[in-house]
Amino acid sequence: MQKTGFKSFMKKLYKYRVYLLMLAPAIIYTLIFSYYPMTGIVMAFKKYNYAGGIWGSPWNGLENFRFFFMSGQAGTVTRNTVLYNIMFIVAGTATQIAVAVFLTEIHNKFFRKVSQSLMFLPYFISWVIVGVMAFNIFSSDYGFLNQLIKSFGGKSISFYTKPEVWPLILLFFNIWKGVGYGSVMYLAAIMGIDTSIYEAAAIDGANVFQRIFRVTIPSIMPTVIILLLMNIGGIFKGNFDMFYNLVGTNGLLFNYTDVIDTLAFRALISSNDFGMSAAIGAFQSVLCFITILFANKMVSLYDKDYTLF
Amino acid sequence: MKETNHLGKVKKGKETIILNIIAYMFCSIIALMCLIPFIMIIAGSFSSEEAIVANGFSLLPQDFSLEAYKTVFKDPIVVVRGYATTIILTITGVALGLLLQTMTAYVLARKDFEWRNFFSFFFYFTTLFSGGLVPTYILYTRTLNLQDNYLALMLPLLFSVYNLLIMKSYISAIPESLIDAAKIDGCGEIRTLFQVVVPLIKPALATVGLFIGLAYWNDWYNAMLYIKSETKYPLQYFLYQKVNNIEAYKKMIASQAVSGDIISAMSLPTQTLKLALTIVVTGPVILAFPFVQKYFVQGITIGAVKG
Amino acid sequence: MKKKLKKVLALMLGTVMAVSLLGGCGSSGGGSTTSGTSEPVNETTVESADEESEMSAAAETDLSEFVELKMYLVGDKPEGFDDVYAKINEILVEKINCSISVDWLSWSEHDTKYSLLFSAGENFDLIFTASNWCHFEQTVALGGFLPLTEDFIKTYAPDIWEIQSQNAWDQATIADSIYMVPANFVEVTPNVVAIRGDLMKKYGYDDIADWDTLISFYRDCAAEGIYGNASGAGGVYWLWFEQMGYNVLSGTPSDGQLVLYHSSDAGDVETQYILDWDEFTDYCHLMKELADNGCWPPDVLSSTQDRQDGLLSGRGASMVWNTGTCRIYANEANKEHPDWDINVYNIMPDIKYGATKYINGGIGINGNSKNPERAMMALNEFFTNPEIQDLAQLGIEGVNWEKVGDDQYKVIEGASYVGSNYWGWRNMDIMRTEYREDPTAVDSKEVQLKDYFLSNIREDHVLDSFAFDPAAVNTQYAAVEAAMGTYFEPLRNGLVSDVDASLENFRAALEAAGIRDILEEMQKQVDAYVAANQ
Repeated sequence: MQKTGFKSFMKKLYKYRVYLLMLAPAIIYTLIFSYYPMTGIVMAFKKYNYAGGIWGSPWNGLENFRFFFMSGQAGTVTRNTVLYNIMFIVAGTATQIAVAVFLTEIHNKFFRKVSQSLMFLPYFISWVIVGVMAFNIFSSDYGFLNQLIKSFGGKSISFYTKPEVWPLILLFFNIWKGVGYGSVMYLAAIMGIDTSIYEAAAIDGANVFQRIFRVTIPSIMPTVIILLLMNIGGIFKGNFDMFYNLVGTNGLLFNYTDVIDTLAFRALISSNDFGMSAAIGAFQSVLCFITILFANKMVSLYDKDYTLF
Repeated sequence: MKETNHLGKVKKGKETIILNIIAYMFCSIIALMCLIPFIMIIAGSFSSEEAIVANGFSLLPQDFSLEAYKTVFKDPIVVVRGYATTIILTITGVALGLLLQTMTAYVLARKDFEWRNFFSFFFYFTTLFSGGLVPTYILYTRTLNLQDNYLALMLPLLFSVYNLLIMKSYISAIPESLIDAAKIDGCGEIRTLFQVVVPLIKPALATVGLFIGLAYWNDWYNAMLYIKSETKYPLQYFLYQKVNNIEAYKKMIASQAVSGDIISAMSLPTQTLKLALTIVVTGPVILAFPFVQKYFVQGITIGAVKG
Repeated sequence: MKKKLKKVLALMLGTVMAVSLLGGCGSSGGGSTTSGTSEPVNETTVESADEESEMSAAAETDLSEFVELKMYLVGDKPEGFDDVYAKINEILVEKINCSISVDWLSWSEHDTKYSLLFSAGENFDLIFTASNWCHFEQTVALGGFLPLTEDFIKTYAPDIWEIQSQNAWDQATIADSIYMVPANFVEVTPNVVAIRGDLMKKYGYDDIADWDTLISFYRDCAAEGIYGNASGAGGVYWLWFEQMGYNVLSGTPSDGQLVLYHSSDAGDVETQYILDWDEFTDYCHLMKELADNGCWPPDVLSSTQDRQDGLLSGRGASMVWNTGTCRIYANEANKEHPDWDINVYNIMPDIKYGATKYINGGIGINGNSKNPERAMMALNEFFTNPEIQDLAQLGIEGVNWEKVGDDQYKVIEGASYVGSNYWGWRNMDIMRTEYREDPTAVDSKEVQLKDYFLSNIREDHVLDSFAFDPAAVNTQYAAVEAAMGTYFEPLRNGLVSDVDASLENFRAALEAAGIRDILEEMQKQVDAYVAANQ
């Protein structure tokens, strides 16, 4: 019995030899640069010291994970991380698809090229500068918004002490920063649609909206779903740069804006405990893994071809 | 009535007009919201440090000053060398990376490859779990001995699972029938890939190529970790160093860690320097953008390739 | 068809070649090399003091092999560095047959790279370190530095042993071993306040020399719509407990700010956890009142501005900082706006001042160093050789600076050498000070204050050199640091809506995070330390 199994495996190896050869460089690369360092994740379960290094340091079980749960913030930051990511994914994807569709439908080449280039600009602005700009807008004395309000006779609002508005502010900045980069992917997908399908639709008498919703969007579904899945796979990982630079160390806002990554940063900045930071990473990774397995399974029930793996 | 639009004919009517209005407005608003901050950055970079600190950002330069740019270009040779390093790195990286990713994505997209899901998972898994900085650093510096080596800048960004899976989804969009037709004609896999598939996925190549290029262009982290010789600094690292060092140094002085007698860093323009840096780094990319864009403007007629 | 394939292959080949060229250009990993080009030194010329037995041990040290040491410093490599260090190496080669090469960790990257050097087992001998801001305690906890025994120091660096005070060694001791050679340098830089003279006059203040006057000044400013202190109450907190005679207990959470001790009373060794302290509650209420009245903007916590920006832009009436920094910014502001008439004020003239710690700068020896003995001897030279001190700090005499008298220097215009990171081996016994021509009013005041501080150093308190070692309560420590963020800064800056409720929440959060375990462990260590050292 086993021999047959082995034999058929070897047969398959031979059958797929060209494919495997073409995959070989990527496989080697991934083994060396991703899987080999991945073993370092054991640090999450060890009391790391320089002398022992990664492998020689003593084990300490789940001790490295305890600080996160003892901080009293574990639930809050986890909830925040997930909710923010869901918001970002949904709103971001919708905006980017909308932009991509609109850009395709617009006649004027010049307008298309220029607006697309402009939309890409925020990608180049680092979150540090965005943080400064945000402060320039929302600051209570000389911030742009408050100056506007005051010129209309109103009283200035202190945004940085009002946690409730921050999810919106953060959402706005997140969309703004990613719309150019993100829409390119959907744009490329739309560009890959065979124009003969459009002609067929035209013959059938479709108007513009029908064309968008019956042809364009369904045709780019594979790309949309892949991107959605990849984003969902990161749902427990917060965008540290954004949160850190926009919120700062403003404890008043933390209930609404603190995410796992910023909490871990504050907790470990003075001790630089490698084991604990590895533990947080492992915690996030495991949760992401479970989520994506589930999501991928859901998609496979819908259409096997759209799955991530 | 039918109107010919670059996407083919469509029935003209009031829907088209409504769509156009929505589309132009939506895109204009977003484009404007992206442009205005950038104008403020340009204006800020040409302002004096004191004005920016006192008044914040504005649309026009305040107290016009070239101080920030002078600081950036103080050592023109270093800047030029930085540009050269980054450009060569980016071009090489994009060429190799694109090749690698396209080839791999092609295989993963082949529906007759039984193990494609296994390998997709094999690659995807690496985005979920990571050992962190320490094992990676040890890998590059001890195991592979790539300290101060250009390869340490090239290799980390060469292959990205994210790009791989995007490319895979684009290739999957190509009708299976075309590939079968090529096979029947006797093409091997490599020929099928390069002669049939590649011409059809030009937008995808442009997109992923752009992403890889941007990753290389913006990378300073790998340079910080692995590069010691000044001659090998890519542009971003060199510039970010300038800014971050002054900032960190000021913090040091402030926290009583260091004697306050050392004045040299005090009058250096940090805020405006950061802005000038953004412009210097972004400029070339934005200028190169139009060349990439032509792939996003024209649709592909697959019918034309069949022949 | 075939042409296209050939094109692609050619491209592939070309890029592969290009890559290997680039790869080949890079040098492979650094490591110390021993070159045998210098002449061996047969007899040791290390100057030692009176220890005869140690002297013979040192004399027996085999200096016949030339050793190249590697040192890591923090900061930017200054221009002209190579020339200066070439001269330093001349001296080192002559005296102890070794030379030193220096690599740099820049300001922005040392946080990340410092620990990586140790993790990856990098080959180096010496590295700059400092308590708190330059990873001293962390590195010791992870076992990076070589523990220095008294014998080792006395044998290979007898001169350092001679001049260094016991206090310095105590500070550098963690868990009974010495882990760094601290610089022989202390400053007295208490927090002072730079205040706008024009506003003081406007509200009728001749001088501000105590806490209450400062607070009432803030109130007056706020009433007129100017921020008393545009960057909030971070610095004010330090003023508050310092003028009460307290100091932070090193090693406790939040940079020591969670537990204070009565530093001005050597007899009082009680530790004060601020959340158990009524004074802190009163302080929070006071801060809330000031914040509500507009003494600082409500968004200080997220501000992207630097501490001095408020003063420099005119939005704030004062700035709290150490003497040196206040002087610099006061001068800068006065240059732009002479009518502001900013000067530096000391609001606690009755308090005697503690000196900064010796371990605010020092050199550690890598636990994996292959030549610790020679490294120690090189340090000995750096510490005690006036020529090397001058070279490292000021550059080459005649080129970058010139002598003024015996112990001062003047920088040569346009050719100054910005000495960087020489603080690891500063020796105030033989260092030169700057000769200032044309001092401004602020400069004079600063000198006055500095002299006053130096001549009024308070007696040592036994807890001055205590450093809490959190190894046993690591988890609780991280949990406490995580839990603090939501409450500490807002309370300190008076930006909460209900002070008492917030304090309650703060207390509860820290209790849940395990603060009692930390305090218990801390008290244990404090008691042991006091018993051993009093």
